[in-house]
Amino acid sequence: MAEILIVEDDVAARAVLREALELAGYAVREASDGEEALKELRHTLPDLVIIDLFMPRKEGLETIRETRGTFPDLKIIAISGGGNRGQLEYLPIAQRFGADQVLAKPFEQSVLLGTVEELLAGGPMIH
Amino acid sequence: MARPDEFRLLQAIQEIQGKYIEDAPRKELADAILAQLLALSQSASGLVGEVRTADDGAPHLETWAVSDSAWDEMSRRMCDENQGGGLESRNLDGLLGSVMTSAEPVIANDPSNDPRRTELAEGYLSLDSFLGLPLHHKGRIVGLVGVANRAGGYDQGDVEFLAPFLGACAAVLHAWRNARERERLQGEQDPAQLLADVSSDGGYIIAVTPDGSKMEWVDKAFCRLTGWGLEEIDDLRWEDLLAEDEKQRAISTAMRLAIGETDRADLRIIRRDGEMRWVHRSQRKYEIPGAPGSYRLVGSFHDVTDRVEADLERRRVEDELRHVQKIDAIGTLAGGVAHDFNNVLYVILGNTELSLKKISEDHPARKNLREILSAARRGADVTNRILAYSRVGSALQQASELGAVVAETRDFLAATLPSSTEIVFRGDPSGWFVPVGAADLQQVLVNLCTNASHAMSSAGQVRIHFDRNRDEGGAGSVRIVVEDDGNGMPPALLQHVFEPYFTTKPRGKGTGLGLAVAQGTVKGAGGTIEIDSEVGRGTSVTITLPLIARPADRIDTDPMLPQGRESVLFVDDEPRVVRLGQELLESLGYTVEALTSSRVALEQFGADPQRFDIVVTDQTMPQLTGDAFAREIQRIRPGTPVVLCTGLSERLDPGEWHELGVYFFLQKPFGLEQLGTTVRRALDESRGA
Repeated sequence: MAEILIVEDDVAARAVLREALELAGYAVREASDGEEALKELRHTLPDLVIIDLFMPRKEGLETIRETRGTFPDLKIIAISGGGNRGQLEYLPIAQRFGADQVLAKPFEQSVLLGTVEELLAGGPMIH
Repeated sequence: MARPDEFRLLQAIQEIQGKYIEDAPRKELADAILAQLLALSQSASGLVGEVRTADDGAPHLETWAVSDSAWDEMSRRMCDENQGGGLESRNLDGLLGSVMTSAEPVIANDPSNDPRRTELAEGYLSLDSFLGLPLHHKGRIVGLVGVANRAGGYDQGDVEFLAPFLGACAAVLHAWRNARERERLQGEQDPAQLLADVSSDGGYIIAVTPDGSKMEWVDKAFCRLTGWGLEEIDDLRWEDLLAEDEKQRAISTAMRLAIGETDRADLRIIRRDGEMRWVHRSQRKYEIPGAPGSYRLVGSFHDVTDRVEADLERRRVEDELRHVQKIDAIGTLAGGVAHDFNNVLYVILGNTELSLKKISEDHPARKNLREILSAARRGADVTNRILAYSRVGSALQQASELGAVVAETRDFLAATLPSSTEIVFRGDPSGWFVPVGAADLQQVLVNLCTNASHAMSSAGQVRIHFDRNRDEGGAGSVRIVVEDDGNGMPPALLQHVFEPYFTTKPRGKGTGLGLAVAQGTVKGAGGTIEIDSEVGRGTSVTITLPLIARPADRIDTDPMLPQGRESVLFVDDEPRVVRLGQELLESLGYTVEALTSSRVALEQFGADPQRFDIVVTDQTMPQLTGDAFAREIQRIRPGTPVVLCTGLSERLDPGEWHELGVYFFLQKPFGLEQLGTTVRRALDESRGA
């Protein structure tokens, strides 16, 4: 059973993600910010991590960069509801920082599950 | 009694002239004249006075000097008023009076019995004999002298002897009086007038009567500033100077003036030569006493054209800046709001989906949950439109085929616009690709057509033209014009139409986002949007979008990857990528030359240009970047298909694509599947083209 770490500060969003993924048969762990996420990752490495971009303490982009640096083969999906810091496109930046896929909120569960499935099943990606 | 000789006479004349030239005070001059007169006439007493002519023509005497108080007494008895230290007499009776009135010498050697003598002077001066002589200058009496009480009396010989001396005295007196008049005039000349002559401020006085207004006085600067000559002022009215729209200002001016304030304003005047100048004018109203309804406007103005124009320019730049800042701020705000909403919508959407999974197919709440789902999706659509405006959204470069979008839009508009609006499409955009997502592009077209339809109060036509411009290099551009026969807009509205939340529609009828979103989408795709409108003539919106080659990065997933036997030159500075790429492409049947240096790759290609059927290259490489490498390839063998692999931050200007011979992109990170499919497609399409 593949294990997925959800890094998301919004409790309600986290709950939805967890339930959707668990229903699809994945084991789910949670972290509410980037620092907690890195601690979790060092503890046991999951198969995939879903990271929200805007969080308190350690932000998503920073978390993605550090995660990618430490765990080059870990699958990363960045999620975000858009930027609130001016006219910057954050999701493409997340991709440059090492996210394998990005999803703009709100996304439907079929899209999420499809992306997760694809990444877990897929071969090597060219960065 | 022998008279003094002529030498003595000359001496006397010389002294008097000397005194005048020395600019001696009047009293000293008068005393000298009297002293010489008494000596020359060997008289005991005498008087020197100036004769002046009043406005009514009557002469009167102003006494300059007397030899003794008896003359004073006599003069004083004749006086009406005492002025300026001298005595002034208007009484024309008596001996002195007859000199004044007759302007002839008067000799009275028996004054007691002389009929010209009046009672007035009797007893004050004991007169034994009297000689009164007028001082003539150029035929006019300017003064008189009187001497008295010479032993033996006076005769005509005295008159003749004294004539040269009196002539000199008359000339001196006249000259003195002229000088004094000049001084008086200068002293009397309005200092304001003197100031006005040197001032650069134009001054004026306008007399306003119930019959109209008239320029009463202007100064030289006024003429300089307005271009009107002093002699033409009678024909000029102040209103003639004002620029057309300044005339409306007259009402507020009149109100300020009515309450006695000084009216100060910048206004535009039209010079006589037609040139417009800004002036700063101050003016005030003064009632004309005794003339009800009449008053004078006294004012001045100076040219402030340079300052006002600099101010206007500064204000224009500031407005523009404020406008840009406002749009930026709204963009930031919109991005923030959209972000929060998307998070909220995700929770709604997700929970609804989960709920739908948990309940049975025939559960009565299923319909309600579907409504929630549908509403959440509509909400997401709204936030995405806001993001499109603030250019925060749309992470990936999208593309769409205009023909398909237009077909869909046509159906949508037919269903949503009132039947009184006829939609006419001109031009066939099939096969034209633009770098805008289909949904965004459709939104733009729908927004423009909806606006056009709303602009027409009755039935009318909305026309959408498509035409292609190939002159700009690359794949060219497409021009989309949406025009209506509606009411049009005045320029004041036109400048705001792209502002978010600006709407002319009634509350609830428009979001005020339609054109703002259209602009955000079009600009985000590297295009332009312009609006042209005229009241009563309708409105047209022109969009220009760059055309792109058929995009290769959105491909259908096919479980069986397309194969090929062609020869591929694969270049990337990352050895890991090169290894992977070679492995995959060879597994699909291709012959692959995989290199980590674009320079070496170019050398190989140059050595045998026909050897490779396709080039796949990374963009970011040391020494020779992907686009420069592609350009060299095109130079050596034009038409060679090139697949350029770029990161998102390296998005190229679509116009440059064709120039580089690059029709195909792979956006990093890409999977092996995408690589295989893109290479196959690039080969097929370059052959078909």
